[in-house]
Amino acid sequence: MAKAIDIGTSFIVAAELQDGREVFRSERNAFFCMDRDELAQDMLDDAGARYLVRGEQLFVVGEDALKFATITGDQRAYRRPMARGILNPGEEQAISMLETLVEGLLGPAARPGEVCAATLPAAPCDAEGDITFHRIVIERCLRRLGYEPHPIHEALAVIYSENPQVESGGQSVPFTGIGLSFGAGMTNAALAWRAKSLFETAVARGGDWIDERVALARATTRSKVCAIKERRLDLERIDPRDGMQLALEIYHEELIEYAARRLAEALHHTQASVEEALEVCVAGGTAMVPGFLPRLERALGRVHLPLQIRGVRLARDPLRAAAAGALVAAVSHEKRRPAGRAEGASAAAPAAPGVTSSPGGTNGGASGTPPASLPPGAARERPRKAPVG
Amino acid sequence: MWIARNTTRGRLRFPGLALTIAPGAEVDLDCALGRSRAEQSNQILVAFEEGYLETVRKDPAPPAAVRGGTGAAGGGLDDARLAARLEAFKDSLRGELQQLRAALAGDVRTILGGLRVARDRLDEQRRRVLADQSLSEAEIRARLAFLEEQEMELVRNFDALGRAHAPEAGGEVAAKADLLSRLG
Repeated sequence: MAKAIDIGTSFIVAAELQDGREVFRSERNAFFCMDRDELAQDMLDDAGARYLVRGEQLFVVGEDALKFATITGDQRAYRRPMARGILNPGEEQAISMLETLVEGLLGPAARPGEVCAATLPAAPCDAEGDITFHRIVIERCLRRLGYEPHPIHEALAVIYSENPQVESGGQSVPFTGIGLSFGAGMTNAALAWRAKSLFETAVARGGDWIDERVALARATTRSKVCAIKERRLDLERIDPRDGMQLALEIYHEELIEYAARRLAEALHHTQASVEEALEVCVAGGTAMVPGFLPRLERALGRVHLPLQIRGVRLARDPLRAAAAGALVAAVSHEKRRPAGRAEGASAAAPAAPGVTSSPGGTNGGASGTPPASLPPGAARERPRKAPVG
Repeated sequence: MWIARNTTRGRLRFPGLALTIAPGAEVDLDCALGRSRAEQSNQILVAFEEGYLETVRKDPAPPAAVRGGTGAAGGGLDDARLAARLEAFKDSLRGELQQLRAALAGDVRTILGGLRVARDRLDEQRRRVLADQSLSEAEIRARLAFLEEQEMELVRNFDALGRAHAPEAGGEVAAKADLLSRLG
């Protein structure tokens, strides 16, 4: 059966079906580097830590890396293979460590050519950033493990997981709505009609950006900011006398406003148009802070989206929604494969009615689908299957 | 036979001799190293002088065929001798795997290649143990158990990453995948 992997800047989540039920495995996307000696190695063995020996260095990977960084206080040795949603260009060990983590979580394919859907970000609309290298590294890694890689845009995966619907022509249209994924490195967005991605974009800001800004503003470390953010922050109950809380509130607000504004701008530049009011499904660790969702809803109301929004809801499991959606795509793709569907068609997504190529403006491509738009009024028609392949 | 005991609470390592002795464990130095090598080794000498090792039993002359393990299957070997033979087998394998681990350097592909070599070596040892007519049933079981333990330790870093989570209300993914397939 197919598998899926959501490769995020902070966490990697693998998903598969076991006896018809989804099971997830997650690991922190990080490693800790230390000099190799027998004592250290014995200590790691005794602690049951996962590590690699490379030459004269030990690399502790995953959650244990954070523990060691905390224990030793050596933040410089705590490193991350990814930054801002893609492979960290300044990290020489990025590829090998990411491959190790992916292999450790997924294991080899159960049979050659088993489908594995991998989430990918869209190219950011507000920063230099190319996802081609990142995508090819991930694809090669999966192929080496015996999988047939199946890339899917992260925010589209959120839509597959949460299945927002609209009523059209007296019928319910599944997988139709807006997916937003507020991750650590990036914020990704997608608009889908009947599972077909019409529009994808991303901004190069996420939870890490908040940590960075607040740390600068409060002259403290990012790890301290992160710890407070994850454990104590409630955006509905900010104590204005607490400088740290105030800074966190300001930069959460700033991120929300910025993402909403950029989403509106990008949508205005496309021809995507859907007349039905859409539901917005939100996932990602950054969106889990209490009070985040009402602020996002207000921000989306202020920026005049060229679409109607009928509600904003948090994914049932915000940290695993992208992995779950990728698994939906992978299982569906594997089911349809024997029927002779064209390989390389959209990420398990059939075409929307009346979809035509857009002259530009989207940042699509992660799912392998061409940029597309839905002409005004088309959504009123009864959806019909478009030719594939 | 020269049985020595690790009197410390830590694991004794003799890197140059590829010898490791667990806390409180006994090892037949004749089996592990050979009498002359053991007696000439400064590391062993210092370990005795410092009290890290103590002699449990030392026969005057080393039996010629001890290293090969020539005992008849199921008979003639007392418990101490069996334990010493098993310990020697473990130490020798540990030494071999330690060298392999040390060679596991380079990129991840090389490391995984090294891991495969180590697994092949363990499989080879398994075949040898099963084919060795001189071993009793109990020794075979003990050696196979040790080989399995070593393999588990070796692959643990690669096979056991991540924390598993199975949601209470599982099964939605399969239903949604069906729905998605039907759309196509």
